[in-house]
Amino acid sequence: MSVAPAATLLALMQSGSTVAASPLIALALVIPLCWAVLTAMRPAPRQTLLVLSGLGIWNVASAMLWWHTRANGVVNYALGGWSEPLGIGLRADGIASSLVLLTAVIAGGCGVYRLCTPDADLRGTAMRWFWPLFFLLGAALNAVWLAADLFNMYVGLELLGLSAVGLVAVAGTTAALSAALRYLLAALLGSLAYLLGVALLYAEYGSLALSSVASGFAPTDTTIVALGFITAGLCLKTALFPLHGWLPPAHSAALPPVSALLSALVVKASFVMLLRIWLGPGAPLLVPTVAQGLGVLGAGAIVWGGWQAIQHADLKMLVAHSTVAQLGYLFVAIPLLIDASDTARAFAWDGLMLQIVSHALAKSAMFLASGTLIAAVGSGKVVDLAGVSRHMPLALFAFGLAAVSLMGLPPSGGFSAKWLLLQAALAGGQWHWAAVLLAGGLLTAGYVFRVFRASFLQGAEDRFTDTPLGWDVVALLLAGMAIMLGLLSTGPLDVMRFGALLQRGIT
Amino acid sequence: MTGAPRDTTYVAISRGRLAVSLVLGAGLAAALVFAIRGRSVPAIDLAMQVDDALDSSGVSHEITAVLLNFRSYDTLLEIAVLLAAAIVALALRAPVAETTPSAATTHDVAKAIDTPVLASLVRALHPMLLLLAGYLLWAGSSKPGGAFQAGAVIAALGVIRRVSGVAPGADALSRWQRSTLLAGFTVFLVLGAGMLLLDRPLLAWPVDLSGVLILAIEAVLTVSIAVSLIGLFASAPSEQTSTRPSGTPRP
Amino acid sequence: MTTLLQSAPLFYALVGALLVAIAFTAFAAHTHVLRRLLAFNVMGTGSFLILVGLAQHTRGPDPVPQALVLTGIVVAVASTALALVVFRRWYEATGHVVLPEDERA
Repeated sequence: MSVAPAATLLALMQSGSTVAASPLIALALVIPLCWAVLTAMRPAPRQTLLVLSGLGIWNVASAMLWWHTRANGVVNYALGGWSEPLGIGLRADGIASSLVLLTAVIAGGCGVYRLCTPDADLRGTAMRWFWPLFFLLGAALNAVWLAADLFNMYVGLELLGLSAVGLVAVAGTTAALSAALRYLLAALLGSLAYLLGVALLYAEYGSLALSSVASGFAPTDTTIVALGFITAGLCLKTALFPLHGWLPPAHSAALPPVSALLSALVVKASFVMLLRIWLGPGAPLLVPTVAQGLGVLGAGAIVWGGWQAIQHADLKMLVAHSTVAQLGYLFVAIPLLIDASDTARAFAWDGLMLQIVSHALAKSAMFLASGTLIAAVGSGKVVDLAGVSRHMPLALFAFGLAAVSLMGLPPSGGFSAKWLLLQAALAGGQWHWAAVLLAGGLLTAGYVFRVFRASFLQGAEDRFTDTPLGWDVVALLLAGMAIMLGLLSTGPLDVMRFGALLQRGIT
Repeated sequence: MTGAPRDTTYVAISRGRLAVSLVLGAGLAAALVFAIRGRSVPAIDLAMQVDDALDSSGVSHEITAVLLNFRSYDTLLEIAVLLAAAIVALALRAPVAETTPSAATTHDVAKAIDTPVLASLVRALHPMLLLLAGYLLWAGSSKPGGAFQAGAVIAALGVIRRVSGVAPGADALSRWQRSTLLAGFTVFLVLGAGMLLLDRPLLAWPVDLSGVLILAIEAVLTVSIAVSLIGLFASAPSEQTSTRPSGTPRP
Repeated sequence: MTTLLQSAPLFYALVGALLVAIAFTAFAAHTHVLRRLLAFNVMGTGSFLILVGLAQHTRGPDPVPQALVLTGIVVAVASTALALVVFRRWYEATGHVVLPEDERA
């Protein structure tokens, strides 16, 4: 991939302009909400036409919003016609529009995977309510991506948490119920800590709009404590090491398409909020000590998550611990985002954006492929995968493609992401992070090769259940996108720089 | 996993865990007091902005204006949160796969109490609580009150009916109840998104219609909130259906 | 400083802070899911008190935090109800009141 000179990148980052309100931004919220209602009216496990039309319209509208942002720059939207701080604003900048599109694509994949599920797996009351929760989750994700208001982010985060917990619980097993409860307790504690922080910020600034908090910002005692609460709460929700305990059980006990959505997107929502707050209003307080501290926790996540993934006997637990590790990379990028060197910061931003997107694509593909393998083998254990290389080549290939991106092998999106972060570490002279990045790659290789080793062993014949072809197609498409992102990263990265949150850090 | 504990009302706390919790709690208290002491007077006076815009909000009560006009998007998402919870409750009505099906289909909380005094008292409560709910809803536009308060009162009536045995627990939600559950959110969403067709921003009520629209939304929301809350209450498996040792605190 | 402490709304905020701290201690100490949920609700009440109390100590009532608290209450009610439904279903299936991960500790 080609990397433009840093000066050009920084110029681009500041080029976002505000254009007239576009209904497209509202549609990103209205469409999934409408389909949540429509699917709840006649709840059924399979509402193929209705769901497919919803996913289609959602993807088209999201692509149009992304295109609109690409052409016109940042779009601000005043809900109810009331401008901030009286009303609530939405902001479709590069990162928000890109994540709206990513959400639609991954939700589309997971939705189609779900529609291909055989009838036998769709029995039970709980399955009838899958789709309303699925669309509510999508709407909540979009609400968080587009939010520009501290309290609105809280409501969006709660909607996200509750619909995610519900989707875990509808799997119906006792393991799913206890995982859902644990997830819910962590989510509630996290959002309450966030709310406390918001209460303190409102008392200090008299406004909930990110923009007005930023313009009046002063590093007072109250502000520092408020940011502390916000950070603690959001880190808990992002499952940052050592607050990650709730994630592996929840992500592994859910149905495969739900695990995919949770790992790919839901945990990123609180991270993006963290990014918006720290790089937006909080930028003056993002001193090296804080940033390095978050980076150290990220490094801990990479090492601990990777090590746990290597140990686990259970395939989905392995993949879930891999999520813990991959989320660590997001936090390792934070100290690089405030580096003194312009080049390092620009590389770090691009690397972070690419890591968010490529991990989302790769991890959703990996969870879907794991679900297929587990359904075929009839067991969730890694050792029981013996023989799948001959009987399930497509699912294993999808798993492999996703693994390539997670390990950071070229030419994948994961490679470009880790390469850019490495470049940032080298350009800024922060060598210790380069070491962490390399160690993370080796640990990732360690756990994915465990899966391959088991898969290529000779297994007993005739014990595989047939799985729908659609499952493999969806996983392959998502994994293929994760790989393609490495080859075609320039276009998406250009858009993600619009209105980049680095502005305040740079000036 | 160990076997089911005999006494499920209290689980002892380990000393180490208590010590850590106390330290964390003390730290939290210190941080909050420090933050509250240090706060300054904000530069922005949002209350004044609310006052200034009140005339074009369609209602005369500030809190209702904030909830259903200035920050109506928050309220829309809040109702979606309630809907999500109600949906999960509906989804989990049936016992989980691994449980042996017991008499779980008849949720008769009611068997317990059956006295004529109680029954007539509950009947007498009906008109009073409904009137109170109606008043709260109507009051919302000019003084404290509103959809949630009114809905909560109706839900309380529903809970009283269930626990007193006046209304035997209907198990599956009827089609009518399900529509009512969805109605509030649907009307809110359709009206809000309908503004897009009028070439207005999402949820931007036209000034001359805003009063009517807000009242209509609040009225439907009241019923939906009530049904959601009753549904949530009724969905948890009741004590009698549980095959487990009794003595669990009732939520 | 002394004048701040004398103002009534700040009193509410300080009481809220105390409630949050006490409830958090209980949330962290207990392993019984119901007790943790009760603690969560007290914590929620404490943060609502802080939100309302802290925001209006100089300029009289501010309707915005009051509206936010109403939204927060609905969200807290919904979350608690959801947690109870999931908990009861889990209890029905397993007879446990403590999550498996806490059982060991």
